[in-house]
Amino acid sequence: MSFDPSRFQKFYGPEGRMTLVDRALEAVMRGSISIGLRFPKYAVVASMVKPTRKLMKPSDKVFIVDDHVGVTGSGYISDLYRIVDHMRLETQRHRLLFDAAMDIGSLVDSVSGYFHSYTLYPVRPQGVAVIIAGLDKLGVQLYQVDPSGTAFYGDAFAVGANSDKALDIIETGYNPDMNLDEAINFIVSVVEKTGNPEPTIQVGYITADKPFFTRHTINGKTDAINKTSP
Amino acid sequence: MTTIVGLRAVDGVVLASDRRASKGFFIASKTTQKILKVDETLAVAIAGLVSDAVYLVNVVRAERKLIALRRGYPMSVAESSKLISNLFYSGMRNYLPYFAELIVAGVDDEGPHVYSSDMSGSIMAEEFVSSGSGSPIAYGVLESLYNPNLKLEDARNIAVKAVEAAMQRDPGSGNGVDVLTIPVRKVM
Repeated sequence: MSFDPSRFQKFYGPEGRMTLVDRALEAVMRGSISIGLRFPKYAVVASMVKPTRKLMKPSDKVFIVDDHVGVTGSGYISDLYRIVDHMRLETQRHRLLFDAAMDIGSLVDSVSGYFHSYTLYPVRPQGVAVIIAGLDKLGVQLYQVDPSGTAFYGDAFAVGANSDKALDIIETGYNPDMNLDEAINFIVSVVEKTGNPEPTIQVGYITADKPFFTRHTINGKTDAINKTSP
Repeated sequence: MTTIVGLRAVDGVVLASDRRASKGFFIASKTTQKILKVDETLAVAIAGLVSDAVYLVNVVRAERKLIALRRGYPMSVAESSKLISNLFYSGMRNYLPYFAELIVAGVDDEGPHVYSSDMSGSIMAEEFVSSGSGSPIAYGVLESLYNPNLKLEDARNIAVKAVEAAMQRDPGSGNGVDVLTIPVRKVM
């Protein structure tokens, strides 16, 4: 077999973009939508769970990483599982080393390093973007990390199918005074408006007064109010 | 061959030590520094092999700076003590123990803390603690004078008394007292 240079993927396309990472972002956009919102006293992450066949149990989309951290994401769920496991390992390693809960910023740095390592070599970048919510000494935190390894910090994120449209709706409807139920109802309405009638949504939230990330599953909009009072 | 003491007061912590370094029956130094500042809010008093103790303090100093920069808020005294105890423990388990006993004292947003740490990797929160060859004598003073409601200035005087008593009767301790106090800051 002779040497064929075309067998090797180029990292950068003609425009200077990392083509493999761009493809990974496309994979993320094919996944069902995930949303994260941060308020002064709490943060919520939510992800739409795709309807499955009758006898099949839908897979989890929101994960508890440590007491004080949760994560969700869109894209290839198996990639997400690996990242969740990485985060769980990091937070427990930190507890062993320092006898204290890991701060969210350092955890996000670690996740971002995990993503970034798959952009350096001709391997498949992670086909998932994650939204991380947690609580530490600096308060309630919300981050998004992309397949490129870039981390964003802010009050509202959306990744996955129709996430651009969802962000437009969130930007006009977001109000920092919302309570938890209002926020969850808001997320449900955003998911509905992006073309998913009566969606099943898994939500997780953390509040500033209690360092425990809590999960719920919501079926349709009417369910939201009853199921989420903490 | 040392006397070190650490006390927790309501408004800070105090460390005190003698200044003698011994080589058997010979006094190798009369001006040894046995209290090492890690930073403005944490200090360590050392007994045992100086090189091992200084190495541990240097590791903690570097780690505290790095972590504060990375996460945006400082390491607590408990976290710092746990880091030291992990180093001690891994040393012991690898048959290359660090031959030192440390008293870790500092203040954080939860208040003043004193921990004792030894080569086995154990870590204990203490109100007052002493280590080194003079510690049985120092403990006599501490047991009779310490109470948990002490102010920093009184705790400082008791720490000095304890080390002075040890220097009178322990041949491994002498040549003067060093003392360091760390007050709880008003705004953390």
